[in-house]
This record gives sequence, structure tokens and C-alpha cells, in this order.
Amino acid sequence: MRLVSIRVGDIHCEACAASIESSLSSLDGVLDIRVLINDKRVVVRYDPDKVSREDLIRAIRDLGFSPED
Amino acid sequence: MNSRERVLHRRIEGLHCSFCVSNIEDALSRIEGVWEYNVSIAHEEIYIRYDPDRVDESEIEALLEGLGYRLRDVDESPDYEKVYRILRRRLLLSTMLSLVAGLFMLGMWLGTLGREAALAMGLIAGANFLFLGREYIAISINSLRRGILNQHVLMFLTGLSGLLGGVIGLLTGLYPPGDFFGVASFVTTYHLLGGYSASYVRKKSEEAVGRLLRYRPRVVRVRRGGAVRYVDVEDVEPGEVVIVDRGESIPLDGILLSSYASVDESIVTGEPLPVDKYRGDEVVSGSINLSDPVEIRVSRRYRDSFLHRLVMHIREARALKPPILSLLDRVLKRYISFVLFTAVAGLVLWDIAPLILGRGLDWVRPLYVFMTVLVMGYPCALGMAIPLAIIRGSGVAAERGILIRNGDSIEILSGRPYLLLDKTGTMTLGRPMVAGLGALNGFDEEELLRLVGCLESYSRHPVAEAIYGYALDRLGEIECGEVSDVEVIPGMGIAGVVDGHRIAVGSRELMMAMGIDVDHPPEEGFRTVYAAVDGSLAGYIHLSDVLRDDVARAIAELRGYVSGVALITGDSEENTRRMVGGLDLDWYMAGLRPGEKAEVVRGLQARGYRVVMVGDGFNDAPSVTLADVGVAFGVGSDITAVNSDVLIVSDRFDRLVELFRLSRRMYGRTRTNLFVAFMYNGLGIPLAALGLIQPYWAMIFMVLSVTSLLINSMRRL
Repeated sequence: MRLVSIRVGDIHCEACAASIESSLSSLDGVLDIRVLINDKRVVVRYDPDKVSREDLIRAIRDLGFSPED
Repeated sequence: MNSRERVLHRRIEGLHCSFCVSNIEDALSRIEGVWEYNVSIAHEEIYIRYDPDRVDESEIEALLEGLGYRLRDVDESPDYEKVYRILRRRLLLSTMLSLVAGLFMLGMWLGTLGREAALAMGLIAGANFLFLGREYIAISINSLRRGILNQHVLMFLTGLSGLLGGVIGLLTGLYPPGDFFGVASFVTTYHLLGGYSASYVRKKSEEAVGRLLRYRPRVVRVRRGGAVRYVDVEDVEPGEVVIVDRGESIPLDGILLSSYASVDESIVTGEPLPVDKYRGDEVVSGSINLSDPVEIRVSRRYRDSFLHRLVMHIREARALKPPILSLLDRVLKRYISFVLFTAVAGLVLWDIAPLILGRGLDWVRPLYVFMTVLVMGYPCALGMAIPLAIIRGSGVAAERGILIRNGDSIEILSGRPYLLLDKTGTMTLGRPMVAGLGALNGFDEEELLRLVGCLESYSRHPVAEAIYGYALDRLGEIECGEVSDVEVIPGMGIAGVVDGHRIAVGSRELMMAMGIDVDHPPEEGFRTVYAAVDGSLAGYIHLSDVLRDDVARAIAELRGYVSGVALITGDSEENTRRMVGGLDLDWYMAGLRPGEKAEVVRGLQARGYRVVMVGDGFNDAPSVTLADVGVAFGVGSDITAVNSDVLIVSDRFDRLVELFRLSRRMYGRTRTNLFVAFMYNGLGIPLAALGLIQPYWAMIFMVLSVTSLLINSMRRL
């Protein structure tokens, strides 16, 4: 199991957080998602055998946010 | 509060300029039994304390309504959108009328149209001025009755002179009726444009903040007769038991009946770190339950509760906000006197001169001069001068995350006010950050951080978030391996198995409960968290709220804009000293409750200072509302944001410097705009009195002044 932090500069509100949470939770291998609005980052606990950090970043970007690599 | 004292608190409609305030205050000061009064233009509210034995509520209300103001319930919010739409429709109609009038006038000048055109223009001017401008005429008549000279009065005098001059011209053929009628029409249109611009600014600022919050009593869950009932919060009696779910705010003050609760008490102190409460502890209404559902025995009725008192503080603060005599009103007072004086002087001059020259008395010429002066009186660019400066400036500000909601603020911000700052969440990040850590007993720091980070990611406590956030920043991705048996121990910490190791992270109490000896002392001013690995102490982590990056430099820069800068906070004296000791502040006060913060603001105001208060939380709402300029930092608390004059939606503290800097420039721009708006007419008036220029010059001035104003407003800010 792995823990990763992805900086997303344009998270501003609970609504952004909710959309990221629901999108990531549909990915196979994602175990837990924390969106820290104050910190402007998303922390994901995931299984590296099933999903990669790149997949997570892509999923966030597809929602229209700009995650840092 | 004295038992023989009542408060009359109402929304008041019809405040059109800062003179209204002194007018109302004059009237109130003459009533026996009225002790204290305050009129807030910004919030359109009035607050009166009086003795019910000596004066009746209805008497006071009748007095105010007799002065031409309408009183409403405080909770009734004005509909800026509706006002805006009405003004826009009137402006469109009026512009069309004026355009037609302009075409007629052109035809008359070119000689293609005759006297019939003048009659048509008279009808247009009448419709425009008397019908579309009727609201402003009513305001002017009211103002004149109260002896107030404002821009509406100016428009009224100019429009009326134009109309009368035109009618006399039509009837006698002595004056050029088309020119007079033209002025009456154009003046109305320009005045409507001014009203429209002001209402546009107001509407925009309201939109940016969203709907006004209403303080409505909520329904709470109460245990009654073995069942749980939903009861209006105002109907709950002391001694009853209420149930509060996780994430809900505690509705009433009381005593905790459940064994434990983690509570966010930032409403009281502004401190966001959860506080641990155990059975028998007091809990405060408005604080938020972060733990599992709890039961609370109510100790006070809603109307005596902390939350209700806070709401009342905010309401009072809205009405007690000091008035400002704005630059425009100060200029207008002199200008209108100047116009009237010159008009009368012209009248007298042209009466006397022929007498001296021995030509006998003639009424045609003096009256013509008198009316020409009045026709020159209305500076058409006036209504736009301030809105244009504000629209332009607030656009620039908004790009930097600064929403200026009240245009009067820029005048105060430019005049070296006294600056008061809240600490937590304003000068600091408002959440704990890892300030230091150390590995003990031979453990590797990074390995410890890996294990602790993995475990803490299961907790939602702000301290845990700070720790795993820090771990991720330092290590990048963290490989956790298998994690099992995670257990959150309320008020103490968290334990579990990570990658084959038994890990516990939490307070000294948690370590002791697990039989681990803590020989490392906590550091003063920090919250210290310990970590154990496989039964032995492995390290410690110090956490603390930290100042924002740019605070020290920003305060040094702010010194150039303010006459003093101080800190007021709900945090403890000790924490405050440690955190802001190195900053260049004039003084600070710690341990203040929300109402006490507002008292500090009032105290400074009583000593003659204009006060700018910057805060973020619910606990800052009364002081932010009361301040001459209330600045809400971030949107942490809706109530604070709604009652603020300026809203900063940015994490950067130096935006505050930017606010002062931009305000100075905007105020400078407002002044040059006003100068430009008044300049042409100011020159035209004495010339008209001397009979050197004719009414059509008024229209040339309109074009010149509006064009100059637009050019001046286009310049980079």
C-alpha cells in the first residue's frame, strides 16, 4: 500500500473536493482519498499494483483541475 | 442593561447622502428620553437607545418617517437586483428621449426645423424630467425641506430651470426654448446614468458575496419523555438534553453528558485546533462537535446563550458602524452654495446695472441670466465620477483577490486609519504545522516519519493532517506496506500496525496508557506529539500554528499607510507573545472574547480614530462589522464575510498592503474625476452670470466633461 500527495493549486471549495473524491474513488486500487482544501492537496492511499500515481493525476486533470506532477 | 431602557433597531430607507445622518441625528438629539443613537449609511440601519417612560417608540418612528425615511424590519434585506433593473429601464427610456431631443435641436440649429420642434422638445423634456426623474425630484424636495444640498437637489434645480426657461421661451419668444428644454432632458438622462452606475457597483458587490445570511432559529433534537423530538431551539428549557451529531454545531450552552467530545471552539477564541471535552465539561453554543454524536444537558435558554449574544453583538455592530461624510458630499455642499450665490448675484447684477445706466428696470435679462446659471449648475459627469473610479479600481483589485464591497472604504483606507489585526487565521495559517521533530533511542528519523505518516493518514484530526502532510512533503511518495488494526483513541491519538511494526502516535497520556515511559519534556508553546514503535519511545513532533510567510515584511510596509497597527486575539497571552513578539506591532491584547474585540474597536473610534479591522472567523464578526472598514480575510466565516466592507480571497497576507496601495490610487483617481466633473461647469457659472455664455453652452460642457472624465478613467491605475 502506498501513500501519495498531489498538489492541486485550484482546489477552492468543498464542491471541488467532493468532485475529486468521487472521481478518484471510482478507480480500482484507490483505498482512501483526503482532499485538504487549506493545503490545496489531495492525499491518496492506493495499491500500486492496481493503479499508478500517473493514473491519479490524469483522473484529476480530466476533471478540469491542474495537478502538479 | 438598565431596565428602563429600550432599543429601537430598524433598517432605514431613503439615506441618500452623508448629510442625512447629521440631519437625523440633529432631530433625535432634540427628543427628550433618547440616550444614544447611531445611523449607519453602509448598512442602512438605525440604532436608538431610549427611555420608554419619557418617549414612545411610535413617537420616534413618526419623527423619522416625517423626515422622509422609511423604516423596515432589520432582517428585511434590500433587493439591489430589483433596484438595478428599474434604474436600467428608466435610463434606457431617458436616453432614447434625449437622443430624439438632440436630433430636434440639431434640426433647429441647422434651420430645417421651426418652432414646432421646440414644442416637441418641451414635451420630451417634461416627460423625461417630470416622469422618469420623478423619484429624484421627490428626494430633492425632501432634502431641500431638511436643508440638505446634494446632487439630487442640483439636478432638480437645473432641470426645473431648463423646463421653466423653455416654457417662458415658448410663450414669449424671448428665450431660446429648444436650448432650455434640451438641458432639462439631458440633465435627467445623465443623472439617471449616475444612479445606474452606483447601483451597478452595489449589485456587483452583493453578487460577489452571495446571498445574505439569515439568523433563523434552528430545530434541535431533544430527549423528551423517553423519545427524541425535534424542537425549535428557542423552546428548549434549561435542564433538557439535546443530541448533537458529528459535524453539527452545538445549539445551546450546556454540560457534556457523554464521556468524550472533540470540539471546535473557534467561534469563541478563533483557535481552530479542536479542544477535548470530557463528561461534566462546559460546552459553548456555536462550537462544532467533531466526534461521535454526543448528549448535552442545556444550562441556558437560547436567548441567553453565547451564540445568541454573539448574533446580537453583530446586529448591534451593524447599526453602530460610524458614518462617514464622504468627499463628494463635502464638495457638493460648497459647490451648490456657490451655484445659488452666483445665480442670485447674476440676478441682482443685471437688475442693478441697467438702473445705474439709467435704462429702467427690465425683468427679461436678469431672469435669463439667473436661469442660465442654474442650467449650468449640474455637472453631468458628476454621477459617474466616483462609480467610474471604483469600477475601474475594483476590477484591478478583484484580479488580485480583493473584493471591495463598499466604495466609501477607499476614502478611509487612504486617510491613515488605525489598523487592527486578528491573529489566528489572519496573520497565521490558522492550523497546526510541524515545527520540528526528533528521533529518539536510535531510531532513524525518515523511517519514523514513514511509519507515523502512514498511520496518521487514517485520522481526520488537524494534527494528524499536519503530520502526514509534512511526511509526504519530505519523503515524496510513502511506501506503507500492510496496515492493520488501526484504532483512533479519542482525545489521545492513534495506534495500529504498519508494515509489521506496532505504532502509536499521540499525547503523553497515550504513551503512559500504553506503559511507555516519556522522558523527553514537551516544549513550551508547542503541542507535542510522541511516537512509539514496538513498545518503545521512538520520537517526538512539535506542532504549532505559524505566521504566514510575508507577515513581517507586510507589516513594515503597512506602516506607511496607517497611524497605528495592533493585534487583538482570542488566543492566550503566552501563545500570542511567542508568535508575534518579533513583529513591529504597537501593542497587542490577548484572550479577548468576540464582544470584547468589538469594544476595543469602539474604544479607538471614541478616541477619534478611523478603524480598519482585519479578521477571518465568526469570533471576529462583531469587530469587523463595527469597524469603519471591516476586512474579512478568506471566506472562513460567512457571517464575517457578509458584514465586511472588503473581502480578501487569497492566502497571502501582503494582499492587505495591496488593498491600501490600490485604495490610495483609487481615491486619487476619485479626486481627479471629481475635479474634472466640476471644472467645466465651475468655469461656466461665473461666465453665465456675466451674461457671456448662453444655455447651449451647458450642453457643450456636458460633452466636454463626460469625455474628459472617460479619458481620465481610462488611464492605467
